[in-house]
Amino acid sequence: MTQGWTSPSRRSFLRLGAAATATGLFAPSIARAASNTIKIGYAGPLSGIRADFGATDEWSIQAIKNHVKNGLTLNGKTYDVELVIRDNRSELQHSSTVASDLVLRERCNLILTPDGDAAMAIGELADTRKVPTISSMVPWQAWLFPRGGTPDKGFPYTFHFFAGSDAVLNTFVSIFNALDTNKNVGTLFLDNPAGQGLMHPQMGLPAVLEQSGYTQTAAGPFQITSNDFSNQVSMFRDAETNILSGFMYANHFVPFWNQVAQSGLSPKACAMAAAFLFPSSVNALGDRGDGLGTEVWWTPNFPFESSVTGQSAKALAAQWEEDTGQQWTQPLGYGHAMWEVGLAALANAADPLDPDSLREGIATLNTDTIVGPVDFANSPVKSTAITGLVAGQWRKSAGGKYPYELKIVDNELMPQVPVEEEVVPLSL
Amino acid sequence: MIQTTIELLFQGITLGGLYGVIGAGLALTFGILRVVNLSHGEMITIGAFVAVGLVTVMPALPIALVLVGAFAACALIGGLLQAAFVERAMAFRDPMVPMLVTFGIAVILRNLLVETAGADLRGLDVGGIAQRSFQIGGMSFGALPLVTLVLAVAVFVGLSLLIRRTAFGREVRALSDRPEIAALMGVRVKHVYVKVAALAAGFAALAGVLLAMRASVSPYSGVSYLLVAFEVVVLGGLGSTRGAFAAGVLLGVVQIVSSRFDSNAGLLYVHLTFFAILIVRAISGRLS
Repeated sequence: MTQGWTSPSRRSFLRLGAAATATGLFAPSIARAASNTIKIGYAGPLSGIRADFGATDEWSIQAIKNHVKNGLTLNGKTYDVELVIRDNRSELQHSSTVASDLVLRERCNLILTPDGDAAMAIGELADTRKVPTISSMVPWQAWLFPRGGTPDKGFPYTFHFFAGSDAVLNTFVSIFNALDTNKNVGTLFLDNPAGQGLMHPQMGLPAVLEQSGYTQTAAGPFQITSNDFSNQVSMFRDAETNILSGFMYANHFVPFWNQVAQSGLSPKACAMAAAFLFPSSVNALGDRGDGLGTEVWWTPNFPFESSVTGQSAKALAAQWEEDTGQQWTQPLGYGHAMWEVGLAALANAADPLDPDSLREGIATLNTDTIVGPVDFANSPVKSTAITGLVAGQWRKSAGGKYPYELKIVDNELMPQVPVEEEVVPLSL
Repeated sequence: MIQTTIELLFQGITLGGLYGVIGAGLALTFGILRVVNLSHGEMITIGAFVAVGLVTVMPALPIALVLVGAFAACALIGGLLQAAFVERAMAFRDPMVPMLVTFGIAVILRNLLVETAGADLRGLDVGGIAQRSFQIGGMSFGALPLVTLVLAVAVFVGLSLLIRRTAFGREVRALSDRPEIAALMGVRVKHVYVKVAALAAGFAALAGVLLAMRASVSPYSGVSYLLVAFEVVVLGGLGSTRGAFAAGVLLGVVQIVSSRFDSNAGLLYVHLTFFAILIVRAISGRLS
């Protein structure tokens, strides 16, 4: 027995070594738990197919870093703040890697994500490991229901704030209502979970159109690899549709729009979900983007200001354009607001380092941000703050800096946002 | 009904012509250099971006000159890459080596393009040709599809004349059949290879310009057409340019007609057709 200690065998040496390493590995996290550092994790689409959605995030994060560089004082106590930034590459697969990194390895106190895939991947882990998480930039139905949530129950530690897909469809109808048309709408949808939701006969666009007295000429779903829409377009032409709507990405819309022109169909209105959220997709249409309708989550003309920097929406967009030389995009507002909500939740928690206390801090939060009020406390849907939307049209700018500008044309769902211009029919 | 069918076939044949042009360059490198050129998709994209650049600088440029410019730029790049890298890789007996080299070139070119041009979608508007159409007997035909078809026919007729009627074509055919003997007869093998690679890259550029006018391009668009290009090449018979045209048209017509009956089919029936023909060939013993 004693001999074992004086000349240890190789096996017992390894065992000792492993124990020592394990102690060494765990030591920092014990030290961290006792410290005053709040770790905020971020997972977002900094690259990949949704990179447009995350394009403003690095810039927004820099502003937050400046804001917290001397720590945060909450309830009279000063905390250091550490930001852990991760790119989920717009992939579900990589999102799970990032999720376990942020939750298990980095042990963040709070996680923020502006991406649907990342919110899915982090959600389950965060709920079981008690890490309060706030997500955004996905219609709340697309976040709540696929994860098996219900409006009366919600989730224990994961929260979401954004507008609903029903609001998106209502903004479309408000654009159509403002025009004199034959009320015949041609629709087509990209075949993915979001598209299937939007084309749902009871919950989606077909129901909303029917309620408002429109007839639908449905071309149905199409595959994401589609590059030709001649059949759908000839169907719309034969049905003499005045309005085109549905859901597709910008790379589908360009050939679709060209084939609409080739077929001789001249619609009076066109509003597609997702196709032209960003100026780059409208710019790709050349002269033929004037009057295209889209849902608007945020523009520099929203009459709100940042709770972090005190900047107005206009000032934030102006600073972005000055710093980067690029036109503002809608995620600029939500990307900033996500950090506003995160910091407000920390301030609203009795002990920001305690997950249950921070959870309460989010659940009882009702705060004003650059995108408008974000109210978890009085929301009819648990774990969710439903934000507003307005309707917009892309208009050719008259001698402006950029070829197209997004103008607010209807504010039925958010009356505090001023209408900038009247709805115009497409001029093709 | 007849009118709809004619419109449908027109769309299918013109899309097929485009697929043919996409496959033409690949068939050329496959048939003559015996190299599976995985950077073909990037040549398509670069051609499109050159065209976008030309039109941005000179908006009044006619489409013919845009095509010539893109062709020349990509031919230059393709020729240089062949001379500098692929040629050396071809010295190895293992066909995997040049394939991997072209794969590496593809990755580098794609990322260079993202870094320099950005990942935005770009549209190419040459004098509004993509939206123009003409009417015959109550049917509406797009001008761009027609231009695409004319160009596709010109590419294949030109290629066929070049290979069959010129001294260069004779060297190419000789090299394709028996490279060693051709070399013994004084054919300057490397020169011919560089010219063929340049030609293939040029054709890719033409396809890229047509694609950009039809839809839009981003640095990632070329890759997505590589699969179609391979199907065109394999269906058309490895290395056969005329076969590539026929295969392109077949696949284009299948895509358009199938989506008439099933709008959600996408490229499913295109791939199924490809698969079915492969099976028929395997059974009849004509796979290679």
